[in-house]
Amino acid sequence: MNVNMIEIMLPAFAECLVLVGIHSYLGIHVIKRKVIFVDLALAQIAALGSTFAFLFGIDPSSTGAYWFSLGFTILGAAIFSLSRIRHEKIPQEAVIGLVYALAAAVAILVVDRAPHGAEHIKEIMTGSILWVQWKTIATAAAVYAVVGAFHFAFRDKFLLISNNPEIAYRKGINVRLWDFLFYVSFGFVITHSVSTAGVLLVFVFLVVPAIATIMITDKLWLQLVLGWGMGTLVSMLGLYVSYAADLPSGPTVVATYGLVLMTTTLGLYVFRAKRKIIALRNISLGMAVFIVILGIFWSGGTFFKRQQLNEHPLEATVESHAKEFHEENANAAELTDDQLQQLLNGKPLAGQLINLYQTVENPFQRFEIAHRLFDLDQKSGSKYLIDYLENCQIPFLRQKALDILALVSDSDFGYDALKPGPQNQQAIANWQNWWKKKYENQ
Amino acid sequence: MKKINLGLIVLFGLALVISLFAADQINVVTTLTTYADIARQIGGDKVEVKAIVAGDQDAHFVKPKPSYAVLLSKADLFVETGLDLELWAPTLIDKSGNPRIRSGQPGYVAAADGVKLLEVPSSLDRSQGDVHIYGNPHITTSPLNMKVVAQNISIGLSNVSPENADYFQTRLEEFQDKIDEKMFGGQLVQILGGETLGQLAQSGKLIPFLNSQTFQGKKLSEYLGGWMADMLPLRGKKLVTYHKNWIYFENLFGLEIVGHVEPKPGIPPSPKHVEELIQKIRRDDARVILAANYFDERKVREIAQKVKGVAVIVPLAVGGVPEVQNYFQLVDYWISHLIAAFSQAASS
Repeated sequence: MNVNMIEIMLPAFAECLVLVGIHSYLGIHVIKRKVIFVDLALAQIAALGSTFAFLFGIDPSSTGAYWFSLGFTILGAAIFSLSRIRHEKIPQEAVIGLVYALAAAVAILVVDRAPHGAEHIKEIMTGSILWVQWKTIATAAAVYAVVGAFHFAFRDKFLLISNNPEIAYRKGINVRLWDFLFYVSFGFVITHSVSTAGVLLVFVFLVVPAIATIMITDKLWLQLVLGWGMGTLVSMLGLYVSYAADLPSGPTVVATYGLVLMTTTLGLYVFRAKRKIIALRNISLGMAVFIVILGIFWSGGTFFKRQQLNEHPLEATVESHAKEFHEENANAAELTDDQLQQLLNGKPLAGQLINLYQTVENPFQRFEIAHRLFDLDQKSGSKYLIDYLENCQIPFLRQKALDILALVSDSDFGYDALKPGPQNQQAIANWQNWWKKKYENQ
Repeated sequence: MKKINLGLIVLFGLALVISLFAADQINVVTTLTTYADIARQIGGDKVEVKAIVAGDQDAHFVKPKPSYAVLLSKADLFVETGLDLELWAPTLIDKSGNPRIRSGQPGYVAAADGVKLLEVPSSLDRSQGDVHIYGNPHITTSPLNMKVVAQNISIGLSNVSPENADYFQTRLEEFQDKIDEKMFGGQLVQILGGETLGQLAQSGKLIPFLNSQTFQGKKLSEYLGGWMADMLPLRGKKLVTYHKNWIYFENLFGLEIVGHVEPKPGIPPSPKHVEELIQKIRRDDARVILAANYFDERKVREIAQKVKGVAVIVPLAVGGVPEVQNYFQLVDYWISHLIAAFSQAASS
C-alpha cells in the first residue's frame, strides 16, 4: 500500500461511509414498506430531469440541471405517495416498476432529441466513485445530515407508517402527506448519491444492510449499528479487492455486498438450526449442486465454441478475417533508406549506380544515387543531375541538384528551381550545352 | 380563369425544376459527419449528402432508428470507415434492402482503404477486451488520412456517376491541395510537394528533415507554415486523452500521449489504472486532458480538477459544435484549443 493508493482510495472510501450512514437507515424503511425498487425509480426520474435539462442545453453539472432533477424527483415523490391506497388491489411495486420503465424509456427518447447524451445515461448505472471529489463528499454529507435530522425529528410518524400503516390510518395521521415527505427526503438523498456512486451501488447500499440486519434483530438501533458496521466493513473490503485485483471499484463493492449477504445468511441458518450437522450438510449439498451446474455451463461453453469452429472453419472468427485483411495490406518490399545508404557507402561501380537510378522511383533516393554518382564520376553524375533539373517534380531536390552542379560551373544559367521544367527550358538547354562542351571531348 | 392558369403554370414549372434537381443529384449517406463534409466538398452541387452519426455522438454506439434504413434505401452511395468502428453499419445496410450499397458494390465506400493504420494488434485475439482488431479506426484525427478518404469517396462518386468523373477529380485535387497547404503552408508545399511532405510527416521524419536541410540559403523549417507550424511549440509535449481517439493526431504532430482515462469505453477504470495514470501525469507533467465532447463533460472536468490539469473538450467530428462546419474548421478548433490549454497548464 503506497501513498498514491491511499490518495485514490480514500475519497472513494469516505464517499462509501457517507453513503452507508444514510442508506442503511433509509433501507430499513424501504424494506418494511415493500418498495424495494423505489430508489431505482426515483434515480431514473432524477436522471430524466437532468436529461430534460440537457434538452434545453443546460450542462448536466450545472445548478440548473440539479434543480431540474430535484423538481422531477418531487414529482416522482408525489406519484408514489398518491399511488399508495389503503386497501390496495395492485401492489405498489407494480407502480414503481412502471414508473421506472417509463422514466427510462422517456429518457432515451429525450436523449435521442438532445445533442449527444447516450453516455450520460450509461453513466447513471455504474457511476464514477473513484473520481469523487472532497467537495462533492462534503455537500453530500451535509444534505444527508439534514435529511437524517428531519427523519430523527419526526421518527415516530415515519416509523409508524413504515412498520404499521394500518394503525397510522386509524390514528388519523395524514399518511399521504407523510409518504410524500418521506419520498421527497428520500429523493434528495438518491439524487445526490446516484450522481456519484451510480444506481447499482446505491441499490446495494440501501437494501443489503437492511435485509441482513432485519434477519438478525428487530431492534431499530441495533439494526442501524449493525448496518453501519457491515457497510463500513464491506466498503473497505470491496475497495481493497478492487485495488488488489485491478477491477472497477463500484461493481466490485456491489459484488462484495452480495457475497457478504450470502455468507451472513448461511451463517445465520447454521447458527439458528436446531441440528447444526444437518444444516451444514444441506449447505455442502447446495454448494456441490452449484459446482455441478457451473461445470455444466463450462463444458457447454467449450462445446459450443468448438461447434462454431467446425461449422465455419474458414470464417469462424472475426480474427481470421482481420488476419486476411492485414495480409492483403502488407506492403510490397521496397528499397529502404538504410539499405540504400549501405549500398552507397560501400564501393559501388558507376554502372551499378546508373542501373539503380533507372529502377528506383523514389525521387529522394534517385537524388542520393545521382549525387553519389557525381562524386564517383563527374561526367555521368552531372548528366543525371541535369536530367534532374529537367524532370524532377520537387523544387527542393531541383535546387539541391543545382547547388551541386554549381560547384563545377560558374553560372546557374538562369535556372529557377521553383519553376517547373517547361518554364526553365532555356536554362536547361544552356546546362545541356555546358555539359557537352565540358565533358564530351573527354 | 386566367389566374388559375397562371398559378398552374407556376406550380408546374416549380415541380419541373424540383424534379430536375432531384434527378440530377446523387444521394450520398455517410456514417460520420466528417465523411459527409468531405463528400460535399468533392461532390459539390452534384450530391445530396446525409450523415447518420451526429457530430457530437459516439460512433461506437448508435441506436438504430427506422429512419436510417429509409435513408439508406434511397442512397446511391454509402460511406463508412470500413473498420470495426461503426459495427452497426452492416446490419443497417441489410435492413435497408438496397443492394447497390452493399460492401463490394460500386455504391459502397470504405473510407479507410489505403490509410496506413496504427496500433495494429500484433496478436489477434480478443483476450484484451475490445481491442480494434484491424488497428485504430479513428482515422479522422489526421488531416493527411483525409486526403486518402477524399480519394476513396471521389472514386465512389465516379463509380456511381461516371459522367461527372472529371468534375469530381478536379474537386478532389483542390481538396487535397488545400489540405496540404493548411497542413504545411503554401511555401513549403511549393518547394517539396504535398506527397513528399506527407510521407515525411507520417514517418515522423519531417521536423528533423526541415531542420537539417536548406533551400536557397534558408533553412527549410523557415518555410514551414500551416497547422504543422502552429503545433511546433507543442512537439514532444505530453498529454492524456480520455479514449484512444487521438493516435493519428498524436503521431502526426509529434505529441506524446502518456495514458488514457478510460481505455475501454463504458467500463469505469480500475483503481490500479487510475493510480498509474495519476503517477504518469505527475511524473511527466502531462496535465492536459484531451477528450471528445461526446463523453460526460462533467466527469472529464472533475478528473482534470483532481489531477490539477486542464481539460480540453473538443468535437471529434464536423458539426460537433455549431461553429465547426467543415473539416478545416474542425482541425483549426482542435489546434487552437490545445495550444490554449497547454499555455494555461504552463502558467498555472
